[in-house]
Amino acid sequence: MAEVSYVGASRVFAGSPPVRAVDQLDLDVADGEFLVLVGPSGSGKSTALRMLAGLEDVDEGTIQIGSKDVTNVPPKGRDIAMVFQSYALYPHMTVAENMGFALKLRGTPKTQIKEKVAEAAAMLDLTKYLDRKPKALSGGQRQRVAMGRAIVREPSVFLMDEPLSNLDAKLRVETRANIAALQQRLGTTTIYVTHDQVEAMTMGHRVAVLKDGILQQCDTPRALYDKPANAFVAGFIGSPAMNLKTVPLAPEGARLDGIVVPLERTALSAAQSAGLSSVTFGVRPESLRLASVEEEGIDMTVELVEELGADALVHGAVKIGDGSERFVVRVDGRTPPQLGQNVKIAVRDASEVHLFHPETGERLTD
Amino acid sequence: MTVLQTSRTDPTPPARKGRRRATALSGTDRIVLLLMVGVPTLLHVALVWVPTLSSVLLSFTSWDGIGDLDQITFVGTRNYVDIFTAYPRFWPAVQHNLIWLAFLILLPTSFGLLLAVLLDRQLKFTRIYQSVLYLPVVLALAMVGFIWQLMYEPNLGLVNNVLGIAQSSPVDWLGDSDINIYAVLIAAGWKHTGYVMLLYLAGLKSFDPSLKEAAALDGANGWQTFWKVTFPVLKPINVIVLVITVIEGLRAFDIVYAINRGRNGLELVSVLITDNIIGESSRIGWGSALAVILLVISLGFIITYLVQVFRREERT
Repeated sequence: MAEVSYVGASRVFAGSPPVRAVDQLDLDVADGEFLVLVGPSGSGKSTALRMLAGLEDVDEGTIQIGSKDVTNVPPKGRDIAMVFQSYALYPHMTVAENMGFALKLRGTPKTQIKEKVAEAAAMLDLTKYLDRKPKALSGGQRQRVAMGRAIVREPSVFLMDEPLSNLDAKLRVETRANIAALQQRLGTTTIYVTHDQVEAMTMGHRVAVLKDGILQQCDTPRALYDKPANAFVAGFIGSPAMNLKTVPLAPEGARLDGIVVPLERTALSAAQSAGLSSVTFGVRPESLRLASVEEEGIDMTVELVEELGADALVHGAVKIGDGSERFVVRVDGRTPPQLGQNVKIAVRDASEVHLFHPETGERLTD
Repeated sequence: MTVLQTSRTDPTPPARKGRRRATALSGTDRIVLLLMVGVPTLLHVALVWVPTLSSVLLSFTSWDGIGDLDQITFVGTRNYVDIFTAYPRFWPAVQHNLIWLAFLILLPTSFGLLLAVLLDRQLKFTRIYQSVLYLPVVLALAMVGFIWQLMYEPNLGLVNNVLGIAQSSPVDWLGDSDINIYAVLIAAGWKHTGYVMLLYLAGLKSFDPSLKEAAALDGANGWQTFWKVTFPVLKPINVIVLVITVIEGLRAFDIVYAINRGRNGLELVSVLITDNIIGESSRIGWGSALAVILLVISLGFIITYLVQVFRREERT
């Protein structure tokens, strides 16, 4: 068990211009923490993980595991175990041999290997399958063998590279919970890569959001959701995504479709002191509501209603300036509006509005 | 929902439905299919099975190949008995074939594997190396024989000149019946190495790179990764290479025929077959018996191996 730190770590792929797959990454992972690296494809999250594993060179900066600088240490010297997206199980070995391979290479006595493999197999419900080859297992079982192979090693850090992406939706949700529980129980520092923000939010103690190789924000899931550091994080975290529109600024608030949506004073003054005439206005679907006819609200034409059972998502068009923008509102599932209906929507509370700089995307509200 | 509705509105009565589905091909489809399956089958039977079975039948007869078919006289197993007991060229030829096989399995196969592993490491100009090493494979063995005849020429050939013995005491590589089989094997191996290399290279290219990464993280060094992970995972390629090597070893013919018509230390079973069937003696029955012996040996090797492989597959 150990803490992990990236200190200005970069990976640059040759080419013209060179691609900075991971750019000056600074990240500290505490001992026993479950950290999730999340981002769209090409964000450098897998590369960052592979740099820690020693499978990818570190071109600038350093990486430390525990107090040891491992920047130039080969993979086998880093005391880490990795679960691959493809699981990378050795096809010619049985489940038990797969799980015990690392110990066998280390020269661990056979009885001890058997003991440890049996222990891990019991934990993962694999005891029945120890003599089978990977190809005789289902996707979920293979995934568990890959986990087992990592656990048996008792490494100081677990690395997981999208380990659930080859499972079907139901199994994924189940396994998600199992991995989180297992990590809790073992208390091993874990770094987990995913492109799925739901996985990131549900599993991570902290979540690091990457985009184009640059760390955008690293914080608890709650903090990412409530206070996204910039417009990218705001749009990436949360499902359905936050409504993010660039709108003109009025003295008391943001101007949408003729009305002015009041904003918090601190936010407004921040925007005004920056000398902005427009802002990127962000509001989550659940921070919007349907307004009654008498109330002041934003006119919206309903284009799509997605009923989810407990609630419904109403997609509609709102006029902003000369064009029209799509908004999503989360409403009570029992009384959704009809398709094509004209409704009025309003912001539940001014404090739930996020404001971002229209060009840099930086958060203006605090 | 939709599935239920369509099956309900299906106008075809249920009894006929099954029959219709079984023959859901249009007339043209059937003709095309019949031609595509039939023509190759006919060709295969006519060009492979008929000659094979005829050879087996002819091996029990005595016939000089001249004149009508009523000249063929049935002699039972006499050809076989005579080949095994009273044919001086037979056992040396079998021995040469076995040497050939052992050599091909040991040297070119392992060397081809080594080259494949080296070329798979994304060297610069790897394509050029691959092409150069594969080039001998596309040459006919007779051509290879011709090229190496020039190499082995006692006074002007490259080999003796490089060794510096071309003038003083030249070795007649192909003329000396004690060593010429090995000289020819080097030429044949030169060709076979490229073939094996290409097969292994194809296997390595389709190899999941994360397996090697997993092995590296598990603490394996390069040597352990290769022998404990890469090589066992390439098992299907190993099977193909072995079968091809056995076939190459047993059917070798053209290279020795191009060099000295397969005499003077270069006798092979295939040469004896050719000599007896199309040579001056023209003993069709005798030659056929030799051919059947070779066929049985090849089948023995290949069937044994395949049965073992499939049994092992089933057990897992």
